[in-house]
Amino acid sequence: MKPNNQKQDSFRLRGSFFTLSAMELYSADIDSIDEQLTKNIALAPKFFEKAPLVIDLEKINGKIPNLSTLKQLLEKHNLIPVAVCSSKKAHQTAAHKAGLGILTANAPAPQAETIPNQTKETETDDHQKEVEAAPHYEVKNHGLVIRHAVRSGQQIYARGGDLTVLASVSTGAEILADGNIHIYGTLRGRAFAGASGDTDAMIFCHSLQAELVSIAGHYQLNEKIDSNYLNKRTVTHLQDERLLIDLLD
Amino acid sequence: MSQIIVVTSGKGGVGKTTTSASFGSGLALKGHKTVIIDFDIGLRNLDLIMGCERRVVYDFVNVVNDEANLNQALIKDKRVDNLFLLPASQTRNKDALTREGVERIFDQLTNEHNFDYIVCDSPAGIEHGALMALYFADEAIIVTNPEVSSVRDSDRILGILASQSRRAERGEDPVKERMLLTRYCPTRVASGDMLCIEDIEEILAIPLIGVIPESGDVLKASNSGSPVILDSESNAAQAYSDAVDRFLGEEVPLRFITEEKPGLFKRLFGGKG
Ligand SMILES: Nc1ncnc2c1ncn2[C@@H]1O[C@H](COP(=O)(O)OP(=O)(O)OP(=O)(O)O)[C@@H](O)[C@H]1O
Ligand SMILES: [Mg+2]
Repeated sequence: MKPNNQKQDSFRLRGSFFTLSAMELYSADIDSIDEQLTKNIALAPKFFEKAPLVIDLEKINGKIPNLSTLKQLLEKHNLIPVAVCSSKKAHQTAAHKAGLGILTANAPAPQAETIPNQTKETETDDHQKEVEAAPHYEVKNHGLVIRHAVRSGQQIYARGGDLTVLASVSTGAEILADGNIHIYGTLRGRAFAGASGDTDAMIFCHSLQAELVSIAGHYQLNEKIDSNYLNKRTVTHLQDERLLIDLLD
Repeated sequence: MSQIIVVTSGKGGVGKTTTSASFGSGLALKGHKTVIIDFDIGLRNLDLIMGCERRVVYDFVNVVNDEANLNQALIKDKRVDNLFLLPASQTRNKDALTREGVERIFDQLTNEHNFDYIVCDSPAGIEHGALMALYFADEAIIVTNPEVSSVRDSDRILGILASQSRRAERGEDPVKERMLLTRYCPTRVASGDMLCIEDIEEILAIPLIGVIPESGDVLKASNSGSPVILDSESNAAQAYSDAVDRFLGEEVPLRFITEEKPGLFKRLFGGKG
């Protein structure tokens, strides 16, 4: 019970960081955006459901779409547009008119985390010691390690990093990572590596029986996977915009 | 402290109620004070299979709503000592159960009635009733038939147990999961119509607690209102007894999982078909 002689604040404003998905726009054509959205969302419907989204206009050349129309389109797809990211004054005015917030700079690369499901996660040690003598490479991020099976209906997203699963991924389950995906069991569900567009991302698994594998949006369905690779230890990667599967043995 | 066991599957008609009745009876036969609760509100099956449908006055929902107390609603089994049944309501819908109400009843069953085991017969599906049946569980028996859709649904339920049970929400030790394969038909497995034990174990990756063969005795038993485990001649009954033993920590080899070999007489003199 709160003492009632003391007036409580009803809220507190604090600075905070949240990781949001951003839609990097290259085209002003609403119809083609609509078409691509439909396709992308069909691949991972639960991941996109009610997801807050930033419309990133930094990379667009020339004309931008009408932001109110775009906002309606996103809402129609069950997304929640919250802000526009752009340094251009004209874009900011348009955002303002459409009732969207304005962000200017991209936040620094975030650490790995899971959000979409209530699944337990383990984070790897943040403080890796550098071995001075050895040649060292620039490591993009840390990873997320899941020790249990990922079951049908479950979804795990390693945002900003790699995902390692020490068990199997069931049919009907979805795993996503902005980096690589490593599965020490059988991959029967859907796996999306490079989920935010990293074309260098790869999917490693001990037995490939996936419903779908995708790297940076380039995907292959089970029926299109060459049977020579099914039930095998494989790595899936992207080369010249083409999805390739190699045997690991 | 009572152990709460949920018997669940996702898919309907795979043998949850049959299993709850036999498994609960088996625990009681081993001397453990056991209550079987019918969570399938609106359908009422368990009391039929247990042969006590005419003795139902008050039900689970009445107790949740404080319209009756537990002593009035609990039905003591006439054949097996230590065995009780808490029947479902036929007149309410599944939303009649609230978490607070169910928790209060579990507390009473544990602390006032000193039950060793509370066996929860879950309805099919993954909606309110099924979620309620599994929420408080310490142990789960996943009832699976040797077919793809049933295995898929079991997998789904395992995911829900791992994320939506009270143990998961509180970050406690996870619910202990074990699978019971039922309606197993070795001939149909051999012919490739059904999945084999090894395939199912590989997909679900949880310990197997027993394999119950497909058996006409099951239907006969439920028609006569007696859990099949009491029909000790029956293969299904013996398989259920074995499963109870394994649940209680004994090591028992699997039985009834290969095609029956024709007997000596038949081999010597041949037989028809
Ligand atoms: N081992 C078995 N051999 C033959 N028939 C069986 C076996 N186990 C169950 N059955 C039959 O399967 C049917 C469904 O069984 P049961 O009612 O136990 O399933 P359930 O999972 O509780 O169904 P629901 O999802 O509707 O609650 C019944 O007719 C039962 O007699
Ligand atoms: Mg039932």
